[in-house]
Amino acid sequence: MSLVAGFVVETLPGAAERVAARLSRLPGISVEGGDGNRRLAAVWTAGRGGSMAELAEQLLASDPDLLGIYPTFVGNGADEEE
Amino acid sequence: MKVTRRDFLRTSAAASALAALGSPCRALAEATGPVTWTKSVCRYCGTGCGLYVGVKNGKVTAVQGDGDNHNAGFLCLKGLLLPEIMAAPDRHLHPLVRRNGKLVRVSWEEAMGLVASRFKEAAEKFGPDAVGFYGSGQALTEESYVANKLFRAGLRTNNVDGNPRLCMASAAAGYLSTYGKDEPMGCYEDIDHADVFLIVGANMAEAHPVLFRRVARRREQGKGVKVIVLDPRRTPTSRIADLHLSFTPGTDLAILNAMAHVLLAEGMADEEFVRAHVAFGEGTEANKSLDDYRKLLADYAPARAAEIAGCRAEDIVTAARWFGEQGRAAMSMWTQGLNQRTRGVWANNLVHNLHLLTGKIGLPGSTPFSLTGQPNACGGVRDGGALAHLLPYGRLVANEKHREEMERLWGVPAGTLAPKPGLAAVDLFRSLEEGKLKCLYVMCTNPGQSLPNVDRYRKAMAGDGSFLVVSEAFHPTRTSELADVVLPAALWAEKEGVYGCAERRYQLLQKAVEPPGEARPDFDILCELAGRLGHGKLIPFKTPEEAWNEILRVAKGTPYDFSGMTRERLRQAHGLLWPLPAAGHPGTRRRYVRGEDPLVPAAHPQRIQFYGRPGARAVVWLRPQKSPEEVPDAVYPLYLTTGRVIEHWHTGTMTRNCRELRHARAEATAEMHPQDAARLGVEGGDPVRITSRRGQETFRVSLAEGGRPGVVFVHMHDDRRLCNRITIDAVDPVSRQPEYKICAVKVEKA
Repeated sequence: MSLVAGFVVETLPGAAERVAARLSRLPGISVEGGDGNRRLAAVWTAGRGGSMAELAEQLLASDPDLLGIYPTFVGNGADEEE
Repeated sequence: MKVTRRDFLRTSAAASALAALGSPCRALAEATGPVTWTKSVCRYCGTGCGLYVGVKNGKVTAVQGDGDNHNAGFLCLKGLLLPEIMAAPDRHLHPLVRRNGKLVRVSWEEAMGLVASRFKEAAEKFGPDAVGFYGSGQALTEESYVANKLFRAGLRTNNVDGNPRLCMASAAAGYLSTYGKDEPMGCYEDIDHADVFLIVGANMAEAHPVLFRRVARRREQGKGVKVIVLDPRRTPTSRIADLHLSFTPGTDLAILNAMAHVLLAEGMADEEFVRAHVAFGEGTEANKSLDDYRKLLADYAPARAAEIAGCRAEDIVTAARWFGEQGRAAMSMWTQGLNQRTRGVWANNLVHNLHLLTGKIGLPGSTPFSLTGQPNACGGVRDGGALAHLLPYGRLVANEKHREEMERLWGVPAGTLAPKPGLAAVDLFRSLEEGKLKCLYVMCTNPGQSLPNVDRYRKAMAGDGSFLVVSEAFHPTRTSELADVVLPAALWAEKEGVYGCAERRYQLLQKAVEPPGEARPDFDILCELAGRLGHGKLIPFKTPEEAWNEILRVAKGTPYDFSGMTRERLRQAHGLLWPLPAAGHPGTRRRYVRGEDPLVPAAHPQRIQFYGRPGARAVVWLRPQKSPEEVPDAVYPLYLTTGRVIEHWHTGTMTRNCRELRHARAEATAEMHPQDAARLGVEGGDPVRITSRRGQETFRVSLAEGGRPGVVFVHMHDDRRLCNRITIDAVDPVSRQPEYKICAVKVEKA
């Protein structure tokens, strides 16, 4: 099973653009939009065994400008349908 | 064009995230197809986030945040993944009874017959106090109420306690001693008005993420908003801190006294407020003066406090100045870092002192606000009086008039309610150990993992002389594995009842689906047990709504009065805050405040009335620094502190059932400062054994760069690596809450 998750990223004020650039370089993550200041909408498509919680933990641990990850959607994609 | 399932999911995920920029967590409804939505409340922490439960083909398939509730539609990952716990493989589906050492499946008839006969026999043979009930801040209000009434007025014992004793008893006793009444006077909305946040002993970013988000938003939107975090550890909460004040565990009483010292020395006290609304006290008597207080605080000049606490004096001064600056609203928030201490009540008193000295209380953005760990610890257990020393809605066991009142309300003969308070959590399990308590009914909680010094009490629970009944939605747990009877309980959306969260907000959880297997709501199980014990007249309820209607009558006329919260109104509302004494009343955002609190007369000459205390004066208590029960020494040279992580909750019985969360920090690690690890010769991932005077456990090391040397942190959620083998079961002498947060340990290579 693969994982598809939508989530909102909250950053320190003004940090959204920098965080977006960084997120976009990570495998499986696409930034879909933002408010231009402190919030981003993103999607993560992970392979087998991917975990939204692990991703959130890694992102929060690696970027001090990041204040929170708020998932809005978590779906499992069956492998045979991909 | 072929649209694969992954394409569909990806589009749905993007749509939901983009929609969330305007209204978070709402888009799931559209993304998951036709479902019915039932209004409810999150099952996890004490924030009480409103949500809707999505049901498709009789199964819970989704949740979405309630945009009309205080959480504005936001949920944390745990809340969003609630559907996964409902059909977990370890859902407990059938009654079990222990035979020849093994738990075997039996009928409800056999299980309930056995429970009733054993409790009846023990009470008759050894007296009423040979039986007890250990409940939960996760049970519904109606469930806790029925258990409370059955055990006190039916079985005639006050041995009714619960896990809120482990997490918030010190907060309750702090409010009670300072203001005369329990529960916060402020509300979540105060976050939107605060100019200064004093977050003490609370890791909101992980334990209360939705409230933390609201604090972070206020910090960025308000003018010059400051966030002060007092915590030995550098947690994710400190990311937004303007000042993170780290200190030696157990020395925050000195820091809080030093802040009061600065407030008085620099003229930041509101003398008019103090004259009108404040008394001073020591011990349990309000018989001291402001001068006496000044004398005590003379010992807590910032330099002296900094020496005690291992922090910088200028940081204490800065914190005090920010807190005390005139015209700026100050909100304090705390949880287990203050509460789980042998001087937890004192620590709570000292936070209240700062508000009372400055008059920063009862105004928008100015309030002392204790955060809560469980969804119904406040509503069902604290307010409902399901703790050993309490009776419902502010009444006390030790108060003869209160007992008489409850006897009248419950329609039982005078003298039915025993005058002696029952045994508080740890004492209850010690009584089991001593063989005095013969039968214990545990509902919706997991003491076999969560009690401090847990191996001691696991032996007692498993002992031949005790009869342990566990009503649980999951099996096995570290408690149900020890039980003589395990009853399958319905979970969350499978039943109906009320939750009351940290801000006095009561909300109705409506039933959305049927329980699986033979599981039943605890309400039904307790009502049946009452009948089997011969107390059917005492517990005549057919539905939780019938019990709720009685609860409204029991609360009427008390300082908790929420008699206007009819079932129908709760169904319609997105949470209601008490006092709410009439059907048309809007609820009370700020207690004790004229024009808001219906218990303060409209003609009261001042803006505030602390009606819970004699003379309507809240008390500034004189409390010196007091060390924790155990401090490091040559043999046990490090501090151990325990706590939470964002992905998991309590003993993990629910969150480990979410695939997402199971892979994220489910394993407890020994979080150490790199200096301590280097001294020991270990690196991240290496196994270490942590040993205290009580027990030991093995963990892998994780390194925390921002941590404090000399402090090891382990989270409490792992059911295989039990941090509570190590923790201390010393308790606060007033609140009887254990000191989970501090004990002395040694760490060795394993």
